[in-house]
Amino acid sequence: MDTFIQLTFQGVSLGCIYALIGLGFVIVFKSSGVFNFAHPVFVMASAYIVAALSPFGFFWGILTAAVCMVAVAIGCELFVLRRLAGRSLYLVIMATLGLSVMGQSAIAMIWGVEAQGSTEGPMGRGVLEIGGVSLPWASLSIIAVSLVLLAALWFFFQRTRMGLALRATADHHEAAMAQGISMRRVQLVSWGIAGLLAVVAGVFLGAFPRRVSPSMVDTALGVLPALVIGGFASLVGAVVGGVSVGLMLVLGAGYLTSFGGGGLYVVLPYVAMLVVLAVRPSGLFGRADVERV
Amino acid sequence: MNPRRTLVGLSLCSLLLAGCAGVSTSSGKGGVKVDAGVTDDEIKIGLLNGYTGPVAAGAIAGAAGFDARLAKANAEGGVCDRDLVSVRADTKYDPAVAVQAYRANVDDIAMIGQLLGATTIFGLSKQIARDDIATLAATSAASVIPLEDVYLFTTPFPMYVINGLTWAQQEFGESGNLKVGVIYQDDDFGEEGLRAAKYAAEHTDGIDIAAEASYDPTTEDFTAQVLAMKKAGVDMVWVHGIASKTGPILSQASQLNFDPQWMTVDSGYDTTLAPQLGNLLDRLHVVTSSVPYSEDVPAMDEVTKYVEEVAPGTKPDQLVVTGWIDASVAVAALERACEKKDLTQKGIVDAMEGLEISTDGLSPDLSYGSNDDADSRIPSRETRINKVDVDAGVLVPVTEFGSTPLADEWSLSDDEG
Repeated sequence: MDTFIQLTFQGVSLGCIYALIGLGFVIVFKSSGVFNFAHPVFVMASAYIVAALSPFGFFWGILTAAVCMVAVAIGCELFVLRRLAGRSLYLVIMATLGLSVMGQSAIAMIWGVEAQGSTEGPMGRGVLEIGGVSLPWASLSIIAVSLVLLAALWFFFQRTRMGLALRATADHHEAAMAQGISMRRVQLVSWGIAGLLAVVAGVFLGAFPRRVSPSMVDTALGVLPALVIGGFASLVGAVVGGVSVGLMLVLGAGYLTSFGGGGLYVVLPYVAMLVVLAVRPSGLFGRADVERV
Repeated sequence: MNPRRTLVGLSLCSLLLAGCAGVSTSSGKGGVKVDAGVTDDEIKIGLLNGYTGPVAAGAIAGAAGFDARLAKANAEGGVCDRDLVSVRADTKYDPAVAVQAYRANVDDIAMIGQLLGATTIFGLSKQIARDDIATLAATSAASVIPLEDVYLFTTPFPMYVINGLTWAQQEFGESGNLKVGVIYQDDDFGEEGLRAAKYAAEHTDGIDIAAEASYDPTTEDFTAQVLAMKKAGVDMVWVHGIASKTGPILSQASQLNFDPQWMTVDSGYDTTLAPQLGNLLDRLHVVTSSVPYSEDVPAMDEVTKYVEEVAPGTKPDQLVVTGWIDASVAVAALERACEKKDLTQKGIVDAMEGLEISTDGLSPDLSYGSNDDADSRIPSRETRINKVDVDAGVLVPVTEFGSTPLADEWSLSDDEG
């Protein structure tokens, strides 16, 4: 039983990171219809900035990363994506892919391709022992901060005028504009929020026992099955999908070692993704587009 | 028959044949037969490695060592009065990308000085054999040795495992008994390590493989793998994987209050682990087939001098030395091919047969037997055990180079999984 609890705890912790990354994708997608392939680079860049500035103070690192990432995210929207409004989806996707490649190259030029320590900060390396289960403070921090952030996001979307504007925009762009909602402002805010979420996800993804390294981009892109499972346009879906993928990966690694040469756990999220696509293409929490004819 | 049609047909056939033949052979400066990658001024050597992606740090260090050795050769006049030039192609540690990189470069290089990753090499093995191009494998996977035209420049991994476990049994085994766990990367490289560990256990009284757990290179959480080792109560864990995963494995084990002895291969450690892991590295031993970058052997002065010349600021990574040794094999093969007046791709393959190389103390001497006898192409069976100097991050030897009787007996047929 201890093993199950231990694996579940670590799975939820990993899943929370996926959920935070997924939320960044979803918020941008809902407001502007763009699947931002550069988001994983925002996550990685945040971690690099925090790791680099940690010797001068962890929170200074976070603050700097937050300012930088919000500025970069808004800059991407303002100077690249906005100019492609109304152009083909292919063009928009290529633009975000281009931003991703440019971002990775810029990080390699600044910090090189080697791992750059970790972003553990005050989370530390300590462990809380409960019974036979070890709960690392870093993992506890990930879960706690994620819950607080989710509550804050819920409050923002449900209880603030800007949140309402974002929801209205996600539901129907033209109707929202007809109500006087500024699309430009909504999109800037959503990209800014995505930048902030990238900072939090980056700090957690680069925290002990993991390291800040270029492979963080691939890890962040691994959130794709979570988005399909939950639904691309659903905030709740991103959270449920992210946590599900985390649990599948960790529990699968623990209990499916006798199957498929031990590597079955890696494909589990993709199997789940295909099943969801077959049964409910819009995702568990997505909403199928209905068109009145 | 229409003469014009016949002429056109013949021309097309000859073009087709020329295309099938790949590169054309000609006689170059000094009456040396040459084809791809060799001009009167230079000889191009391809380095197909993962300069971006999960092994980028090691790939860049290896290429720096390789280029440094070429710089030394060039300072001494080159080979066949030609400068040696490396051509880097990024495979991103992805076999599919490596295939593209190979195709893009194979007709412009005399030999492949580095081709990274057993999976990639297997994927390209038929093309390498068809092109008849000498390929130095940037891996220590024994399974690639039987492949045509593919050569290791290090002791193969099974020797690391056999020699390492034998040493660990003497050091850490209680009454000669050692319970070993194996955490291995879920690919050809990792599975070879597991097979070698099982071979060592089967042929050695007292060594028991009590647990095994694989991981995919994309894995971010190692709780399951570490718990499998902890539950089995192993004394020592052999980690057969890449350095970027050794850190998280050791870190997560410490969080789960699991504190065994650890051993890994040289590709499982790099100097960037030290600042993060600190004292967690106290119980890690690294098996290598070359000396650490910091070691005071005669050849090291030249290594540091030329590395500083071609890649200033390079960190003291073990793979710099490995890259230098790799290039030493390439240079020796090219010199031999030059002596035989045949610097064609095929001529360099022939030059590898019976090649003997001394690396001036950087590694055990390397020797290559007949191209038709795979076991004779195991370049060395010797390894050494190192611990980590946590402050400097460098490896410090705890044994001399040597091999165990079990490693000497091992043959490639023992590696059949």
